[in-house]
Amino acid sequence: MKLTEAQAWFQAHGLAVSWRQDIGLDGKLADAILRPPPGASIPLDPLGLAIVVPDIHLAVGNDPFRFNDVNRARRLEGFLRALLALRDELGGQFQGFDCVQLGDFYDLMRAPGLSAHAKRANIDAQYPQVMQLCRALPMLHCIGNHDKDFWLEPPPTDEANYALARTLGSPQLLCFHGHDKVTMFNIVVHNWAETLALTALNVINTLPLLGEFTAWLQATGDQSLEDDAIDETTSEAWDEGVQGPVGWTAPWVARADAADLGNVIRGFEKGLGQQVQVAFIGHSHRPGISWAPVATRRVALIDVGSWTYGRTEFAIVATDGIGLAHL
Amino acid sequence: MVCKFQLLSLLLLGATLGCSSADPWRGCTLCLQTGLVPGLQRAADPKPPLLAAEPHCAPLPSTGLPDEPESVDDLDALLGRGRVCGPSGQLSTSHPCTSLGDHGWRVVSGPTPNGSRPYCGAATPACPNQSLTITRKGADPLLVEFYDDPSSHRSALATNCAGGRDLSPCYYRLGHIAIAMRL
Repeated sequence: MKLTEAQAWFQAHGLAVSWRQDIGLDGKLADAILRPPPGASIPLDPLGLAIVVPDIHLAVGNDPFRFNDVNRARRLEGFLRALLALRDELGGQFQGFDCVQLGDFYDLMRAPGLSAHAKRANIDAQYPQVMQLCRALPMLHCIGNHDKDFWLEPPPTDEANYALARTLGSPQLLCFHGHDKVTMFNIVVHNWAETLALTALNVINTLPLLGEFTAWLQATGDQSLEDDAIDETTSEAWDEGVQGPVGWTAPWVARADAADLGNVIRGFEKGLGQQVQVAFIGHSHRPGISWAPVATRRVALIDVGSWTYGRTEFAIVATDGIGLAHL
Repeated sequence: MVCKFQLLSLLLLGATLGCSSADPWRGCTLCLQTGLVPGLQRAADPKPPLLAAEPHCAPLPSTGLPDEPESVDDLDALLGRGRVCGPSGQLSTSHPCTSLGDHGWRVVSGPTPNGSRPYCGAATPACPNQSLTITRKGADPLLVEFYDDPSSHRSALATNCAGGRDLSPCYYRLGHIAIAMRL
């Protein structure tokens, strides 16, 4: 399935999908679509199409996903139902389909409970339809920093399938949360003091009156009172003459931490024993198509965005290109 | 019961606010084996490097990843001064290792050219070997020598950046490590 066919499919099923707009090399706004070099295709085989979903941050109380609007859960359910129908339709054409989620699906830092299992159960109880649809797909999760507890305490794989990183079709398409090497390290080696403090704080947040005050303090402290990326939807300017990976085209955006993300991608390459062509990340909630210096190459780096504060961003991965979309 | 638990949680919160987590190892590792050229395991590397019997002076046949140099060489990685062309069109600092100072190490001397014969042959246009001495409290100094691998010099792509043409073309690899052991 081609990108335009996928967009048309969503629209035919009642979901208006638009491409993100970023500033191209000519200074004009362009669809945020990454195209491979002429004659080449996105190495998606054996899949026919894939959807990449970024951070969602389902939580209890101080919930950046719902953020005082219960209709946002209904909208996510509608999107997941559409993905199920798309999966079945592609399966009928003998084409594979994957849906990878880039981590921070659960926000365990903002849910009461004494264990990852208890926190997940509390969030699941708030979003039963979402969980049922994710299991039916199944949605394949990466571990983020807000659900890093799943490294040591993973859910049963038939309930939620978690991994530190994933590939899409071939190992040349890599998905991970977008940690630099320090936060990646913190997944493996827990900061128990932070975990204990957050566990205690989230229990206090459930108290009447005092809990409302401490939840407000938490939201102020972790800057989740508002979406701090909402006004940063355009790309940073480029210096003249800087291009992306050889032959690839996109309205490239600048990214300050790309050099260190390149080190992480290089580490995954050594683990996979293969060069990566495109890496998908979340974490920053700032979508855009960029690239990272990896060894002597430039690897396309796609930040897919988030579903926090009413945003609905995702990537459509087709053989002829990768598009950053939103509902 | 719930109230007692919540009170306990409040006390726990107060008790943990002043705590700092232990500082676990998260930097690079110098890998040594008698008779082999030392190697640098970078922070994101999943396993130690395969140590070679001879210095790397030409591309090697590879079974997995192509034998390609890293974006930052061993010397700059250890010293935290690696510069790469980033997607802002400007040079960015890359940190394949954490700072030596984070782990109590400090540079005693160098890096300075030491005048020894280049590992990759006098006929090749190699940059001079560099010596670096580092130490930390309670440990004997490490004397580290780096050699330039001309086959890994920066490509034009890596320097196609504002200020990128000023980058050194040298690519320094770990060559020799000695310990001045006080007995």
